[in-house]
Amino acid sequence: MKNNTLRTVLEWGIVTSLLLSIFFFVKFCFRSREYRTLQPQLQSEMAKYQYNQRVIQSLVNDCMEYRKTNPSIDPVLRSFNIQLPSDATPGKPAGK
Amino acid sequence: MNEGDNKQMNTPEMDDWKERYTDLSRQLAMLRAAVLVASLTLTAYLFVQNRRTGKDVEALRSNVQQIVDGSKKEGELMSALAGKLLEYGQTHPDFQPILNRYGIKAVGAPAPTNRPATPGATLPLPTATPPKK
Repeated sequence: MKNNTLRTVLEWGIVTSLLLSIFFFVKFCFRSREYRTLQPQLQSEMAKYQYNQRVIQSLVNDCMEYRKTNPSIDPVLRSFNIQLPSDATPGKPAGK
Repeated sequence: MNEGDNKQMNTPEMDDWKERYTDLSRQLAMLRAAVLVASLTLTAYLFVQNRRTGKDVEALRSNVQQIVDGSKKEGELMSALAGKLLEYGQTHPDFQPILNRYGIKAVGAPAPTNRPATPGATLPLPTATPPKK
């Protein structure tokens, strides 16, 4: 009788553990797939973001170069909070 | 059962079989216990891996969202800057080369591609092609 109870408990334990293992494994597979999908997306978004930043920086640099000969562009640049060398804030680099 | 059968059941051979049966039962119980321990270990491992992957996915998702939001803001800023610079370029023709370099054109101006016109000034934002390294 005691043997039978122990046997039942052990077998139920094994079945339950097996079912839980299958559940966690399936969940893990789905999450891994999602991770693999998100990773290239992150890289592409990151590249886009960095490219945008480079374009803006380059445009601002060109505008700064232009303002040396034509300071009338200053209000346009200031309206975008672009720090101009003539603005008295030492230590802060010019740019966005 | 009659007396003859009982005598037969108590033979030394039968005792030996009983002993073997008990031994096998014990071995089987130990095997079951070992399988249960192994199975529980596997379950715990998969649970931990599953949780770790879940956390990684959440972190990655939030990163992607942050970058998408940043990109969107950057795009809006670029459009606004392009609009202002275009406005400025209309009164200062010497600024036109800079606008042309970045492809900033007013709506209605002849575009080199067959892209549909969008309101305001446009700046060529990257779509699917990342910058060359």
